[in-house]
Amino acid sequence: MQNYKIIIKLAWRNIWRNKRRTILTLLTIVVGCAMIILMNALAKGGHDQMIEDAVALNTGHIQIHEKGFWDSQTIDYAFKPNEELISTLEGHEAVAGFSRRVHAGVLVSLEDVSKGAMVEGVEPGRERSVTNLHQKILPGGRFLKDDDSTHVVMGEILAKNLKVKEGDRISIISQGFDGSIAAEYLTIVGIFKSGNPEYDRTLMMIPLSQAMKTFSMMGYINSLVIRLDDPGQMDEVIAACKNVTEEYPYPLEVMGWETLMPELVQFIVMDNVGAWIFDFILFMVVAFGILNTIQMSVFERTREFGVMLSIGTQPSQVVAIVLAETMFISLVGILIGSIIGIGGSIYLHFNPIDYSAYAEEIAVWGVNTTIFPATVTVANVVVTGLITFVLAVLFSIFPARRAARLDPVEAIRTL
Amino acid sequence: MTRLTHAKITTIIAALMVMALTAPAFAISAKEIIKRAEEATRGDTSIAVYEITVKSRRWTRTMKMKSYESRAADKSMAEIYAPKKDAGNKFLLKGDNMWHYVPKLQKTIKIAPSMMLQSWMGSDFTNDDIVNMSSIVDDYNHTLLGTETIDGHECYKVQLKPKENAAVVWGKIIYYARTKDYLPVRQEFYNEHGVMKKVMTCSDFQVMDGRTIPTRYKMNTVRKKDQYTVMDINKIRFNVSIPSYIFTIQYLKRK
Repeated sequence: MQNYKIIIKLAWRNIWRNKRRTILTLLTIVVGCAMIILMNALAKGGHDQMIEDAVALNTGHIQIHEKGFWDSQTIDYAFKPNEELISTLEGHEAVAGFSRRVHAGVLVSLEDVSKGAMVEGVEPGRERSVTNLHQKILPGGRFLKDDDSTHVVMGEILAKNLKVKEGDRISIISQGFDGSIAAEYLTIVGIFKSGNPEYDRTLMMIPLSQAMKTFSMMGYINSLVIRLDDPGQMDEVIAACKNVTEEYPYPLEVMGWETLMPELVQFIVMDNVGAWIFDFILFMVVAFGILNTIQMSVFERTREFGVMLSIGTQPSQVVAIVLAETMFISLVGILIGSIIGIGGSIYLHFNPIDYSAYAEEIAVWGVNTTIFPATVTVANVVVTGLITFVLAVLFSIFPARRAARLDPVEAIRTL
Repeated sequence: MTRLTHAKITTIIAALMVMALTAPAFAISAKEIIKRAEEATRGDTSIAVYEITVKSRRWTRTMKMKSYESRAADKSMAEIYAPKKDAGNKFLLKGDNMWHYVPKLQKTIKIAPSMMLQSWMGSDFTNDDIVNMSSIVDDYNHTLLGTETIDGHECYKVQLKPKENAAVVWGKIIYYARTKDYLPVRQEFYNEHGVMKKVMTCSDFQVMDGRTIPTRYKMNTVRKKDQYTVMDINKIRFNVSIPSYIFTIQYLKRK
């Protein structure tokens, strides 16, 4: 017991004996720790934002279809949501909103110009609580209203390709749910710029009530799109939906955003691998910084350790002293580093990095997120702190052992 | 030397005998079979009333169609007249071009080449199946593979491989035609990788307008087991003169 006190006392004094070196070591840890926490917070916040943007734009957190719809994307796969399914969704506190949709590939034309496009029949009112496309309508137009009929909003690039503007009348032709010819004249009420090139190039939206008529849906819909208040509860909501859909006379599929947008998941996984490599490099810089300074401090004190060993200090106690020094420094460093890292992350959470000036360049990569906030998590801070601490201790074992193995006679003679 | 020559001659004679035995001695060329099949079922011109039944995964739908075809001029026009919902849809085919008149839009739409593989009226027939039928003689190289019995009919088995520059979607077609009258019994459509994609079977051989023809054409898409399309010929008249104004875009727009 007495021994520990002496060791701690000695270590504490040693730390303050060479303040400049201590502060250098401390700075290595502080900067390393803060940077790692901040980088991870930026990655997490950026990914969350990308998921949120993708989900909010059109996909929703969960979609329900007749099994086979998502693979084929054809109007043939449709279902009728029953009372139980609707009341399950209405009753669940995690569900922010849901909307019924009809999907159809169509040929859209104005006079002689024809293009392939995708028509989504949506519930204009409900869609507002599920997606945010209604906020992306360009000035001069508007989003659909519940009492609209043969009205359409379409993507900016599609409108440009067709050379149409608000107020123009276009025609669509397609195949209805029953295999008959589906054709309609539609009046453009709004043009949207979603930022997602695919939607902007191919997507058109008409009111669901009209889509039901045009495509002879007979009460069937292609998808039920669900938006959650708390994405963390996605699995519970999926389970609740599956409870109902398993009773269906034909198989349905309940899909979360990860299955709906696998390319987004892949992107995040790849980005994380990159971040881990970056973290690893930072950790190594910190570790070797510690190794270097502790090594130097041990060299400088060769004579002192020699004296200690010759008056009977155990080599293990010498090791303990050196390790205790590192622990003190790294604990303080981690504490300060974490505070700076968390502080920086919180600042960037409320003042996110804004790339919107480069939106078009970013859109080339299929990413429509331009604002990257930081989100700091407990796991991020704890893991970073723990790894830094363990690395600091591990890397000071070498110099500590060197000090313990000194030959007292030789060491005393060293200046 | 003489012995060697002798051996050679023996080998050649043997080889010739084997070839004579294996190569079927057909009196008719492969191309001729297809030509006669086309001629027998379609004549130079024809006016026909079809009943088309589309069975899909979910529903079964029946349409009635009247078609005017001039095989000689490579033109045809078809009008759907039942059910009411689809009535008035008209299709004009001229060579490789196809137009669709949509009554609801009162508008004629040119079917772009990229849409040729899309389903025609929700059926198992593609637009291309409807248009390119006539090129089966000219756009392909024909090889007679032998005879086979299909559905109780003794048939010639003819392989059709597209000619180099032909605008054809299939990699290969196997055509079975009855040996007695060259009427088609079965056609198998393969993609460029040699995978069978569709099968058309012809049945219900009957005498119509003085000719024996198959009156039921059933198209199956191989991958989609629960759906098929059947075209029944209710009425047909061969080699009647069809006024040329029928094959015009202006005619499509007429009520």
